[in-house]
Amino acid sequence: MRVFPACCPCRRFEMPDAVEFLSQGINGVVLGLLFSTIAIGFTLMLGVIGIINFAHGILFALGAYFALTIRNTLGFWAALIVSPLIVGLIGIIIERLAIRRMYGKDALFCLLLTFGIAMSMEELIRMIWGKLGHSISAPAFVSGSIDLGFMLYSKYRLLLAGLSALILFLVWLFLEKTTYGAIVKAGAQDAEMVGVLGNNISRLRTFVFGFGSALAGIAGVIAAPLWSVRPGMGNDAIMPAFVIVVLGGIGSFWGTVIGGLAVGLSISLAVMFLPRMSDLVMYILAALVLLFWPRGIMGEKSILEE
Amino acid sequence: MGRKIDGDISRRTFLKGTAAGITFLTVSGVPALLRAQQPPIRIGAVIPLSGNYGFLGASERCGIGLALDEFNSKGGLLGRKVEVLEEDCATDAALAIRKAQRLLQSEKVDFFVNGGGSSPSAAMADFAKKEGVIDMCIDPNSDILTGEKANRYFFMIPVLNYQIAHTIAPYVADNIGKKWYYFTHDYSWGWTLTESCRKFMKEKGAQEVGESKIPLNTRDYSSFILKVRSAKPEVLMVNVAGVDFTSLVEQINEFGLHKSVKIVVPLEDFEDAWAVGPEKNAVFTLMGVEWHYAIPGVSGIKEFVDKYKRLYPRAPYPCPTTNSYNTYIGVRELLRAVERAGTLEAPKVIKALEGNTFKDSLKNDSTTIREWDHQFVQDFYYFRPKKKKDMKDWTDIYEFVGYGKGSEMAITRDLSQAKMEKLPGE
Repeated sequence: MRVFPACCPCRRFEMPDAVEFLSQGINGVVLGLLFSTIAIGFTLMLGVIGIINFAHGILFALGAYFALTIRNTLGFWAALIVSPLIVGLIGIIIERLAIRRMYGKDALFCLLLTFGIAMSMEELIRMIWGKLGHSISAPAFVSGSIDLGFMLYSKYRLLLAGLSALILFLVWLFLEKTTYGAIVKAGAQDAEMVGVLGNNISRLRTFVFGFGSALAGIAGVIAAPLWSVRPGMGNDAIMPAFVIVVLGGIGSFWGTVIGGLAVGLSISLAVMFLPRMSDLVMYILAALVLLFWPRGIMGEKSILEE
Repeated sequence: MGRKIDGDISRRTFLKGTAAGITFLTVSGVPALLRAQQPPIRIGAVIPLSGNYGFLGASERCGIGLALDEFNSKGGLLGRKVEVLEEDCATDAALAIRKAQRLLQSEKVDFFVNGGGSSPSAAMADFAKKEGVIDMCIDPNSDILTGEKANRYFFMIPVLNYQIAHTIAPYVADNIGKKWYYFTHDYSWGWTLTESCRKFMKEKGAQEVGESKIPLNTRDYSSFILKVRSAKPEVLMVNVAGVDFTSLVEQINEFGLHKSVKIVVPLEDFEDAWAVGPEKNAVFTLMGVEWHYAIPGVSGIKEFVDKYKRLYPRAPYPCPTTNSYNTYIGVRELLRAVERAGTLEAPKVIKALEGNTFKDSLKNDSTTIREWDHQFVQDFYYFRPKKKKDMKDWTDIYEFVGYGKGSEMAITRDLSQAKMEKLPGE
């Protein structure tokens, strides 16, 4: 069924059938969960301690690179636990040495600082692990495809969806159901009051930065078998993270989850109808959302408005 | 009047002796002086060392070195050493031109070699013409480079899309399948390769059931792969290259797409296959390759490979690739043309290159540098993946299937857009 005139680039358009819709929809949700996991650390840093962390992408890359090294000796599950811990530690060091000088200053200073950190760490990665990319396989027990009846799907992506959902659930559990999680959330609302009430704000900020870094790291570990490990892979994380956080609302957990799912689904749908726009569509979506909801779908007043 | 004093040297003798000594030293020192004063011949290499095609730069460097060694080990070219100055174009056209300007103006290079894909190469073609300096282009495959962009200063070594399609498409239609889906890398190389494949596909009675244009730097191909399955083609033509190709192949493996459709890659770089590994690369039914040492029955290949291994034991790729080969041939033929012309002057070297045919092409047939479009007209090969049990080592990934002769498959003059300008003095 041709819908567009011959001169239009979409002229080869054929209406997809229900099976394709379903398979792309499932794929969109899987991608969306991964994007949400990538973005959640970024949103915590921005919402709770007001830091625009442009080094989020490089922390994601470091997670993947440490996993590459650890997997060869200790296996996938060890890499999943150990790599984010190392990245979290690196995050704490960065916070102690550099980020803490930026608190209270214009958010743009921090953007520049973290941008510089990202650039230099990318070079460090090239020096340590080399310039060429590395292919990393899915763990043997989930390699290959599975026949779901109406479509063949990747076993690893199903595991990835499960792991992403679990990570997001654990973050939610921490924020909603633990005392320290409540303090973290309160710190987002009013850091001064939290300090006055006897909590160590400095330690809170270090913890949040470290926690956010560890989340970036674990996202890198699970994304590595999908997207391969390259020095420039941080860009695959930082741009979607930024878009998702702006789209979903700064500082909002559910905003990030909804934003991530929206980005994942929009990419899948774009491939069905306008494949050439698939890498642009998340930016268009963000622009459209901001027209009607300037703070994002679930956002509140944040450092970006100061 | 000199007075000889017993035992002493007279003034006249002293002066004669000094004059003789100075003459002797000068005459014997002249070659050294000349060599010391003769600057080396300099080649500016604007090649990709980073970016989407960054890994090609490593192979290209080796190719340049192999060609230079052939001359420098025998005393140089026209009595002068040949050296290369490298700059990274990062696969970007504007950066390539800036680096080329610097090489020409500050470093005063005599010739250029360039790579990095079609975009920087198109820019370098214009640059070469404008500056009146010869440029040997060694890695892109877009027909535009010997079409609209063709000029007297610019020479194209690799096989071009038209010839690739002309060689591969009929074989695929006759032997693999008749319903085709295309993955087209969304820039000029991808578009022109798909267009050329379409032409020959239709001539052979095969039909297109769909196409997906893959944006550059796509990381996730899951949605594209799922879309292919719903179109139910017999053949998937993968017109994608570089880092994107690597990600795509990994994800094709992940989804098991090759179990339900036969996948063909009309042009594969060894570097891309190396990045995914031979097991994952085995998803392909057929691969088009410009050059690999697995070509049977051609003399000189073994020596070329041995020399590469000897000179570059720690190269990123353990064997010479298409890109090392193209660069080696391009630089070697340039230097041979300089030797034939006896000068570095561009118009004379250009005339020495044009129309030249060389037998030691390391391919089945001789290669000719065609004068009306400056294409190095040569053979193009296709292979299937070698079975793991037959592989001698990790580089032995290809099993020869066939090839097309350059003279039969390359684009003909009536279809070409090439228009060559006159050189100064013609």
